[in-house]
Amino acid sequence: MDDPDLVRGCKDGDIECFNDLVERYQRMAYNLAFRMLGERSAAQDATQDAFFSAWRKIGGCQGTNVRAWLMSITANTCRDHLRKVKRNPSIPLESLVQEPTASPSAESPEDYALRRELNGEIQKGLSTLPAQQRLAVILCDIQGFSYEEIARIMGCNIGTVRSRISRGRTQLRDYLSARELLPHDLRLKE
Amino acid sequence: MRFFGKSKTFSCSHARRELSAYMDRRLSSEREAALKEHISTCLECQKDLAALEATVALLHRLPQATPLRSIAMPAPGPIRARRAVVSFGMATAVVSLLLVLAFTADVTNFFQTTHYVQEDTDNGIAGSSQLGSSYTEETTRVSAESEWVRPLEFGLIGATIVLGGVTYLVWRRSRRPAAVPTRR
Repeated sequence: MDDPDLVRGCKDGDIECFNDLVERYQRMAYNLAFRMLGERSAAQDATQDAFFSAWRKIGGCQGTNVRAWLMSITANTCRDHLRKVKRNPSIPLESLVQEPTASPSAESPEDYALRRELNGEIQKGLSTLPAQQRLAVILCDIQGFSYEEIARIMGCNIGTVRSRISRGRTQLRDYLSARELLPHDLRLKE
Repeated sequence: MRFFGKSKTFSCSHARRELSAYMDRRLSSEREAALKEHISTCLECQKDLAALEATVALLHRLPQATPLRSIAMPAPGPIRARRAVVSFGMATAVVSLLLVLAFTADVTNFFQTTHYVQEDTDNGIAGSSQLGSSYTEETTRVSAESEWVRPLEFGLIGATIVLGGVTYLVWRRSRRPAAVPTRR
């Protein structure tokens, strides 16, 4: 079944259709939440909350771009979560950064350790960006959404998306460059 | 150099602001060509662009995280509602069948009882007794419907209407995705 059929099934109260949508998009939603929040259990909670919210709001879903609709709900849930963390700053966000463990595959243990460290630094760099810029960069460069879809998810115009992506990328480049994580010849001058 | 409408040239600071959109090919062809020309002559902007591309390449290479557990939801609500629809539907069907049987029996005079009225022509007193008794006087056969037939039929009609209504309401409710599933 394709997405519009599943949405129709959900509107008729068929939870199995909704679970099919969950299976289809939970990884993408979880990744967005993980990159936004930088912590696995918080990302799991946010993803779960996002899908509960999606179930409640399914009546308003047009069924034309379910992927963007679900990412929009996930992004809003992450924003709420970040607001809560800001209000109750018991644990600093950067200390929570955890990288997903991927199997070492063919690379050497040293390369694997270096890659994990680099990914951790990139995640830390992402967490230093303002939330809107971070969301735009994640959606564009990690999730592969088009500018039009990002504008729809973030509820703004394409000019704003372009500006947020540009500023986010530039700030992240400066962060990585300052930590000497970019190739030597590409590092920016102090 | 500055980017003005006619000169179509970029300053370095302006070019840097446009590098991200240039990478994604989101500039108009005119602006893209002007920026390309600027980059080809400006080493600093070339370096900036390469650093930005390296940053985006690193983001592309980030591994996809897998959820700790599936977020699929249990379905107790709708199943319970569907069971209720089936139960009420069955009850409505049974009561409707009884109603049809009652009407059929009524139409075919199944519920009618027969009385024999004995008439005493001497003193004019009339009495009744059951079939099978022996009478010497003249008897008249009288058929009458039992008193409980009408209340039974009306009762069954009422029960059918009520159960049918409840079944319809439960069915409507079971189709609505109102219940929020509980967390697993």
